[in-house]
Amino acid sequence: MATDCKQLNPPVPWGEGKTKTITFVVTQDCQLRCKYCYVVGKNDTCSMDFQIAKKTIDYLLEHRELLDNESVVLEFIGGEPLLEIDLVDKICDYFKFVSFKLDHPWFGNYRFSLTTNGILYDNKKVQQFIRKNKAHISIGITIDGTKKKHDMQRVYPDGRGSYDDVVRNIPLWQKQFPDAGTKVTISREDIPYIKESVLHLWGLGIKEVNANVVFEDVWQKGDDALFEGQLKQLADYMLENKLYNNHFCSFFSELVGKPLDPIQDNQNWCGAGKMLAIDYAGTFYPCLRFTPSCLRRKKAIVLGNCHEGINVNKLRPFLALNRTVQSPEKCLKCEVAGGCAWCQGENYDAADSDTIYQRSTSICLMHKARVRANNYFWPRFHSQIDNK
Amino acid sequence: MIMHNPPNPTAAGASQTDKKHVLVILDEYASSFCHYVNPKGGSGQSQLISHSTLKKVIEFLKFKYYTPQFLFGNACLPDSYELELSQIEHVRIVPVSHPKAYPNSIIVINPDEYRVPGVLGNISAEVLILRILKQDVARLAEIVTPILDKCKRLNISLVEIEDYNDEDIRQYRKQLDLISKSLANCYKEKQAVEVNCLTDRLMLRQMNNCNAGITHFAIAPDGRFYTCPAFYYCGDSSIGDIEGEDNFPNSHLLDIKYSPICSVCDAFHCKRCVFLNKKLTLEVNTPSWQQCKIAHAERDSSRFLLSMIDWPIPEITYDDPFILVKEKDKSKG
Repeated sequence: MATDCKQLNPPVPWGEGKTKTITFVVTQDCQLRCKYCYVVGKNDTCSMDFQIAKKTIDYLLEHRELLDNESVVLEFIGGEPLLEIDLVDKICDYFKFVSFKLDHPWFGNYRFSLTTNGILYDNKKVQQFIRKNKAHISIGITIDGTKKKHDMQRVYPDGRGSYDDVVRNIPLWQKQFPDAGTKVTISREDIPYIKESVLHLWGLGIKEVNANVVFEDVWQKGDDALFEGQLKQLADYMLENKLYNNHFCSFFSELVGKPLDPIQDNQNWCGAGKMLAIDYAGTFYPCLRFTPSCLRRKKAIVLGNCHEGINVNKLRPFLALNRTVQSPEKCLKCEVAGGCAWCQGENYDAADSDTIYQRSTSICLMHKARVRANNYFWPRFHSQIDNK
Repeated sequence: MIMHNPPNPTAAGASQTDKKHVLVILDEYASSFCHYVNPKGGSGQSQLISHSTLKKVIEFLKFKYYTPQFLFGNACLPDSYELELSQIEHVRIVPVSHPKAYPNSIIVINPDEYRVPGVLGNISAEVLILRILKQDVARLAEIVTPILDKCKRLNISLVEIEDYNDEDIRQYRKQLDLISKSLANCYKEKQAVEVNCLTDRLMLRQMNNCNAGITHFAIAPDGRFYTCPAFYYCGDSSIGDIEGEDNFPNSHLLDIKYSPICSVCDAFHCKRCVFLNKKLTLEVNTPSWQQCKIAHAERDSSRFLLSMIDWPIPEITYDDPFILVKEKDKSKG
């Protein structure tokens, strides 16, 4: 019973650990102006030209010495990537063509991944693209929960909520990608709605809910208690209705709150630098969060471009990063450090100097609240399973 | 073992408990003595630190018990400046083309100087710093060998490291091996001379890097503090001033234990230049691949040198070093 339990066996991403994720920021345009969105410079002028995309694919496939991963995920992001579905389609075709021509190991060992707000999901061209690439595609639709919760954050420029325009496409998406999950971002205002939102998403048929609190320094006194309360209520509901068997919520993990060994558990949390993001101009970044439109205070960190290639010196600090070297003393001594996450882009943006080696601890209290909720959930879960 | 070796006062044999050193840039046009380039250097012009600032700097150094190393340009100092300098024990770092010969100064030979015929023939100093352009690396041995008998220590400092490619580093290694052979001959002739990139590693058992910002820092003509002169000349913000302002966030990252790459390395002699780190990788704690490969070419050539020299364990007259302590005690008594 327990071995099949979805909550005990979180879904493993495709090609985990062996894959290079390459993110094409195909446009900075989006129909929405989500309040928590870290892309601060949305506009309808900065879209990728196909020639730039071609040059990028050529570079990536011709430099195996720098990109030696077994497999690749070409990720399309924005703004809203489905606004550029023709371009995305052409890029995917070109990748397949060139990787086949070069007899590249990535041919046949690739996935295309799109994260969308879902508004254009049923568009004819989008559906054609999905049919064409069905065996190699993952699509995530971002929906934040109940209509109330979703419409609080995910709004059009005129302030209207987008829930109705997204939710109408969920059945089609679920039919085409029954195992697909969604990503939920929790900001301050969302805390009171966590339980009902997760349950709502499960009710829509989305069995995998990956959620995290925002990494920015927004959390205030009392937020942690409220957060813990919501998670405990969710835990009670999951236990009472045995939802853990067929549903997954990333807030609950047995690894959360365990002490970490400075040597064994010294990996960097974030994949910045191991992945690569390319903006509309063909400029390379360690990840999307290091692009100019995602930084509030700091200059973008550029790794190179599709014309001149990757500057390996700029990549070295990212690949050398580990947990202990960037963490303050309080994190190193923390007895419940397991599962505490960070975002390298936010670390950099919030750091006191221009470095990626200063970990932001803005989510400290929220993590500890999550630990308490996990400490509440797991003994009850195991007791319930054992009694069975 | 190694004396007058800026900016590395803790080089082989010295310890971390040594007095803190401060590099004082006396002249806006002072020539570089290290990897960095002073964009104003070599123009023959001069713009000295103001006398009032110099006075304050020296008072500060005396108060803090810091040992200054004064960086000279090509101009001679007015008597009033010399008077200030005489107030404190110091070291002078002077370009070879400077009109005055100061005793016990460290002489810097810049690319535009070693290329002038005859300049190298007349040099004599305890410590020489030779700054080499990338385009001259292929003839490094030819430049270095004739000056090995003109100093007790030669610091070779490569300029334009950021432009080095694998082939340049291979060339450098080849030249180091040639210099190693010359050094081995020197030792056979009982002539003791150190060359930083070849002999330092032989005597080190732990990392001994430049340590800018830790064991020394720079004071610029504006009276403000910088991690090292390179940071001043590249327009980086200052890290403090004489009045007590302290603006050096994340300075702990200069410490080797916060460098995931350097902390596992055994090229103990490597300069680990934090300025080049910042310039090339954007992080002070992360070396460029060029810096690492150059340090390892030096490490390998040091091994080659070691294989050529007879470095015996000396014969001794005791079997218990307690005897030495007793004898020392006796001689005191």
